[in-house]
Amino acid sequence: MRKTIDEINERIRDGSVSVVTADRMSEIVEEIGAEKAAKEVDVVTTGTFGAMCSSGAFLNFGHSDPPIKMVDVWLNDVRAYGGIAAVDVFIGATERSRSRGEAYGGGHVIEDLVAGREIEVYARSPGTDCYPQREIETRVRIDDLNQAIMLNPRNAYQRYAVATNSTERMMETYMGSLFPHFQNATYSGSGELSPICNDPNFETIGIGTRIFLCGGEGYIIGEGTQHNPKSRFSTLMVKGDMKQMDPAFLRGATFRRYGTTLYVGLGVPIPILNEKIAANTGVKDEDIITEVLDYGVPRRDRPVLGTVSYRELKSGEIEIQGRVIKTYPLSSHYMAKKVAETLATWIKKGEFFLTEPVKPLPLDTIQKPMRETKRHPLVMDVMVHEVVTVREDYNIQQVAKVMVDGQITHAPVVSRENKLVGILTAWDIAKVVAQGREARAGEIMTRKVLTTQLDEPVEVAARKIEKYNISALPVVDSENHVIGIITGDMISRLIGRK
Amino acid sequence: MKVRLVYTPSAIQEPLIAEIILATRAKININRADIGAVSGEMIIDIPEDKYNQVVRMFRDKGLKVSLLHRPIVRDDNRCVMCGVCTSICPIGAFKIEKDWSVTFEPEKCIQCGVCVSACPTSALELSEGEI
Repeated sequence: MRKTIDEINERIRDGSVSVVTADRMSEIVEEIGAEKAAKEVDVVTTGTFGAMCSSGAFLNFGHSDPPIKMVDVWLNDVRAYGGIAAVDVFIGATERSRSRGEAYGGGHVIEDLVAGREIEVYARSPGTDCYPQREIETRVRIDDLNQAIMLNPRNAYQRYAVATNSTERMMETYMGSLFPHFQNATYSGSGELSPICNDPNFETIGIGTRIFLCGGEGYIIGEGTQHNPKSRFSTLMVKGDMKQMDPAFLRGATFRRYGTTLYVGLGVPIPILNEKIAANTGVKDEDIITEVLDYGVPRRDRPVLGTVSYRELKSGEIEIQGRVIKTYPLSSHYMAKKVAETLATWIKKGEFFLTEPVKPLPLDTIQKPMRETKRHPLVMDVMVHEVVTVREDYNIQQVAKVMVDGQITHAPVVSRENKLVGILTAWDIAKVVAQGREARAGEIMTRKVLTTQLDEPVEVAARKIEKYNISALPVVDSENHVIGIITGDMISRLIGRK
Repeated sequence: MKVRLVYTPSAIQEPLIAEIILATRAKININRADIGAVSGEMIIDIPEDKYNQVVRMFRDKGLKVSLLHRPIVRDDNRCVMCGVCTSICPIGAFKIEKDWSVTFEPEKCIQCGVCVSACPTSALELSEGEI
């Protein structure tokens, strides 16, 4: 059984086309097999609705009189990139407002434009002979723009790794709030509804494929950045006319203490040209496997704790290393389904036709890490080796003497085996003295001590010091022996932060 | 039934809750308390049969009492049903249904406000409550 895209378009035209959503196709393939399914189904529609940071838009404002070359540009106080022609700009989803910070950003500007709301434009220029105007302030709606073209360098991730947190502290990430001690895990992606999961070898998807983008018609214009098919991390680069879009299918968003982004609704129609393509669209949540990562480790290569399927993720809990962790979606399955259903309706009503791709997407690209030419300083490069420690049974006078003699304000408290059990600051001692009481180091020390290791980058240690508003971190080895100390002052001297 | 109590400076000094529980034998559940030196607010849950009696006593002591009908207001035009609120709510007032829509059970809510700042699309807001 073989069909062509022309034949399918003919059926769309005469109203006889058979269209199902990808989740329904999984059931059909299971019930009647891929061969029969290929005969009965012409198009499978897919959908995803997730926070996609790698999104943005090119806008063209038309020329003012006298004309201006818009160099430094702000839209609703969110910086847009003006380093292209005079009145063209690119606004990116994660750029934050100057005045409102993470509460409003590029994603919100895009949403406001699509929703038909007026936005404030402010631009500056050094002025040239051909563009004499040096400043402009105006208000525009999407209809006032010549072009408003969404252009997303990386959307529709095939799958995404699951995030969880091993540490003792809450983390705020682009994967949402991660509770301490593996109390939750968050995931993204629509599983069996995901566009690329239904055509992982790009037998139908390619450059020029017409798609559903935020409620309007869009196109795949190439592989997305970081496209990595071998690891099942393929992505799409897409574009679409914002003037056609529906605000119900995109949303400006903020992930607390991470920043702003844009929820994008994207659906790709898969023409069922043969049995093999039908079999691929039979993919189910249980077939789509992804890794669970520990975001508690703030490094590029986060430890993989295990693998799970989207079926397990959607069930609400996963089991990792003998531990049951509750799972929560960040992308909307409800809206993903709505995208797939809306696209199916368009096709059935003869409003949307399929395209033959001009060129298939590559299957051999890989995602490389950054080439770094300057080595990051590590804790071992800046720490003090001769660390002065105190014992739990020291009294206040003994601790004070140690601090004064060593000219230090922080003293790690250690056990007989020199293992870290707490930390004392000059302030802790001052408090006890002020109260006029006696105490042993073990009674007044802080027991939960944040620590660092020899090979931790100084940037990571500095982040801990800043985030928890502390002034020093003991350096410990794998057995919790104190082998050094690093203070906020040392870090500021090294990298010039406060 | 959940109510918000707004304390007056004088009432803060008194063991009010204890007195009212002893007098009414109502099983009052304290969901949230934020009492400072001169002002304070509390969210409590009162069993329905003792509601009028308990509320009267608090009012007699000079506290402002307001019933929380809709503790959190959701803007359905902004909500995209992602489910982030379900992960953050400490008492599970948000629920993901079979069709992946997200529902809210107001009677569970303790107005802690965690969901308000966590909601990516700013669809949630604390309501002031009324009586």
